Amino acid sequence: MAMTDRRRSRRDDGPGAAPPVEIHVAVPDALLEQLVTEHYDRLLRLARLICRDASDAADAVQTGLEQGWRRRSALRSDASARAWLDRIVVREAVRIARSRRSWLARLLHPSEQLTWIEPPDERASNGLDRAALRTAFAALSPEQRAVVALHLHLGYSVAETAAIVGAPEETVRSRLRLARQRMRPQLVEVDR
Amino acid sequence: MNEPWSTPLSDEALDRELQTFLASEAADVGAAPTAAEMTLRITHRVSPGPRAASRRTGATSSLRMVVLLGLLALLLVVLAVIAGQHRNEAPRLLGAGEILVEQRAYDSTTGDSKDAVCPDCGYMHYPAWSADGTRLAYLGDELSIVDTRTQTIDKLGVCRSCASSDAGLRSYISLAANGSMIAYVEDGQVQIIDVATRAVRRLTRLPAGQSANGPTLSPDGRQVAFVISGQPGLWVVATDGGLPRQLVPDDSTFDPAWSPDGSTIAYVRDGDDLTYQLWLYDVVTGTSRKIWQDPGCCISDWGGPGWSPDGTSIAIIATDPSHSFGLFVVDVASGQSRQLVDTVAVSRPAWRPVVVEPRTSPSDMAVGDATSASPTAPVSACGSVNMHPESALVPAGPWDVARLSGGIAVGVPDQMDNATKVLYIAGGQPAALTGLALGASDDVVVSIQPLAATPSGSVIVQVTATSQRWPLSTCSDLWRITATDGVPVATRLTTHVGGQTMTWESVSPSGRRVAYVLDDTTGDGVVKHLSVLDTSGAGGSVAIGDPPCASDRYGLKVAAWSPAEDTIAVACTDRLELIDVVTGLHRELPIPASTTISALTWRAADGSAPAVLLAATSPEGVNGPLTVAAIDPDSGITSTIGTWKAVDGQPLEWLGGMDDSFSPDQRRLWTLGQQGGMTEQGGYVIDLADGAIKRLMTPEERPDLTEWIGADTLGSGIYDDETRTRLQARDPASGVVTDLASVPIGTWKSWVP
Repeated sequence: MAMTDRRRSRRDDGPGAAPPVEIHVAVPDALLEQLVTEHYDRLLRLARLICRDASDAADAVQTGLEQGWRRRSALRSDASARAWLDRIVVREAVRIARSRRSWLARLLHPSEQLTWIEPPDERASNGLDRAALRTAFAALSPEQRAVVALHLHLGYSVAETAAIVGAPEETVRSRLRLARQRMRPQLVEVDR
Repeated sequence: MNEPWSTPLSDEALDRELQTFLASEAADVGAAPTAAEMTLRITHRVSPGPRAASRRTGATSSLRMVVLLGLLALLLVVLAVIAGQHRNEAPRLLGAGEILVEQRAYDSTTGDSKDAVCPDCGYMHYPAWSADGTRLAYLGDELSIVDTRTQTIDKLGVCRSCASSDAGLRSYISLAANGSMIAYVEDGQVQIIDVATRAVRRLTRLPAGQSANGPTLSPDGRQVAFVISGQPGLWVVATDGGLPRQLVPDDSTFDPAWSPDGSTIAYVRDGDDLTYQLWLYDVVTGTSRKIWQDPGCCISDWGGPGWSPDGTSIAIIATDPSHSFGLFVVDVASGQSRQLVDTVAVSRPAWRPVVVEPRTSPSDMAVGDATSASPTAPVSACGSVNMHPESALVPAGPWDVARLSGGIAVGVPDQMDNATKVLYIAGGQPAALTGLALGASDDVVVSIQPLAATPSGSVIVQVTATSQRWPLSTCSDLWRITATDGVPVATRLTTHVGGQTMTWESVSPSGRRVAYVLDDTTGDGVVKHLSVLDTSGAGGSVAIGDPPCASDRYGLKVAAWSPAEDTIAVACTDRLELIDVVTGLHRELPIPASTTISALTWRAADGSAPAVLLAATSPEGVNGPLTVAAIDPDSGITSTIGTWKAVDGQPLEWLGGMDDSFSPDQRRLWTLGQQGGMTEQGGYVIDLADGAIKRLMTPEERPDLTEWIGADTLGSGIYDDETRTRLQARDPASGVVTDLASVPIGTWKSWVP
């Protein structure tokens, strides 16, 4: 095999892995379990914010964790693993969210989350109309929701967020600024 | 929500409220699988996506389908009407050339795009062209300007914090039409820098809390238009001093851009209907008019505007109806637009003027003995001036090995000399090193990559020549180099022209044939085809059909030639193909779905018909064993040779899937595995005869830089000290290591992994 073959085979981490001749019963790998245990909840919450759909969020996380496991050799530390997984899941979640956003796509893939009539949620701040907030948040682009979720929910800095979403810092700041601008009318501070 | 008695939130208070909201939203995850369920889903490779769809009820799906069909019929009618209207209203699009959006250049007519406009520039924020298209200013780690004629990058030493500071938020830069000065924003103030003298002048003295944004130089270089954060209007200030004056009083104005003829300033306004609008300010009359608004809604970002060189069109990045960020071209006269591409970075488009400049050809490439004072007579390679701009640098190294009778050849990229050198190590003796190099000119970087040796002792190499002039161009050819008595003789085997590059190649065991995939960009678009070359020179190169794994998302992984050298087995992501190298016909061999083949070879089993020998991971996805099996190419019947997942009774965390390779004598399989932590990888050898597996190398011994260099010998390179690298041969049975050569690494930067 020429050297070029070798390098490309190292790069091409395509999906799929089943036996050519035998089927074995899977026993979850300890490392995989550890990966899921440590990161699953955070990744699911992150994807949920971007996708606005539980099923899509779970799909994005599954893809991210699977890729994370397959490229486990590249994970040198817990810190890098966290940011790396967040990056994969964010990009997958944005991709899924974008594919779901047209009215035709929503018709084909109805979301359980599109029911706005709900009892008040005590976790939301007093004085806030949570339904209006959700509407405003859902009106943001997936890319904007990703930036808001990474920066304000997970606490990444602007620079870290830019690295994760693969955009210049200016773009991240711009998305944050404009997301705030869009959300601001729904978040009024009432003189009491 | 905005009641009369309410007061605006500060950003800090807004963020706190948003954080509370986000926490509650994120916690409301709905019916998601548990962590344990997710682990099993990954392990069992349950496909994401269809799972969600499968949950839906049949009744809902049927109703949805009826509604969908009705809507599709309606849609077809509407589309037909719209198409009829648009036939007579096609926008007039003038201006040509490329539109640069950050790192990516888009053809202003077709939307075709390419990356790496200036690979040495680093990430380019807000690129801006001079009027003649020969200079390009951009914001990297500092303000910089590239002269495309000399390929020099001039870092100007200012605006070092602009790309990361709040003061630089959305602050585009502007290059004067003659390329002599750049306007930019630093510390919230408009500044200009003289490119030649690097003299900096601050043009504004805005009070604290205000920041200038988006400066744009007038074509005559006498004025700079800009906006002020928190202040309404469009402002202008003279470059030779004076107070700013307001041109437009309107609120929510952003990103002015002066037209090439100086008569108009385009700018963006925030529309009341959550859209963004493109306005033109007439410098003579002092009036503004709206010419366009983005067709999307409710998404909040834009990039631009950027004028075409002839001033008839404006490129702008805005949202399209599907809420993507698209690149639009707006006709200034009619206000009509067309969407050029649908997904772009959000930045100011920089429209490059059409520049007629001579393109270089790597025809001055020479082949010669590196040890001699002058190379042998120049030999033309890829000797066409028709270099296509669509190209990419071909990486070389970290080291490439071709087996020779009595020695090995190692290709070492030498970035100091912009060339690649082939070291021929005869007889395994370091003292017998013979230099062989392909030289380069200032305009052309040449790399050579040894592919294999022929029975006559020559080496088949791939020669790639890349023009360093703007735009970058690449072509690649196959050559045969014969090193007899230290005198290299090179013969060109293929006659590709610029824009024809090899993206995959495989040499038959005898070296008699080379199969390769050629990406041909000399016509419209990219055409890929599989070609087979007779290295004796008798038959030349013949295109035989479609490339392998053409429809595979991840492309070809590994390949192996049949003993008769009439068939190649290739493994794609999840299938195995046999390709007849005479007819070009493809035939698929049955393998279980989702199998990932990591190594292939052919063998004659017990003197009977040849079989395809494969290594594959892994039975149940991510943690299964490595399996080696043989497949009869005629019947497709598979027989398992063995499976491995443990060493000395201790299970491995994973084994195989990366760098697996059969030894040339097919007695062993070399693979990587892990036992004892995520960073504890090792090199493993499996004896296919008795099934024994052992760990042969630690991570420090660089198993990732190891491959077979003889019938039953592994070769690898490790650091000797900070100045030299040792090439080592390793007996896989005994583990005994023999030094082949010690190579200085100080001059070969690419050797560093």
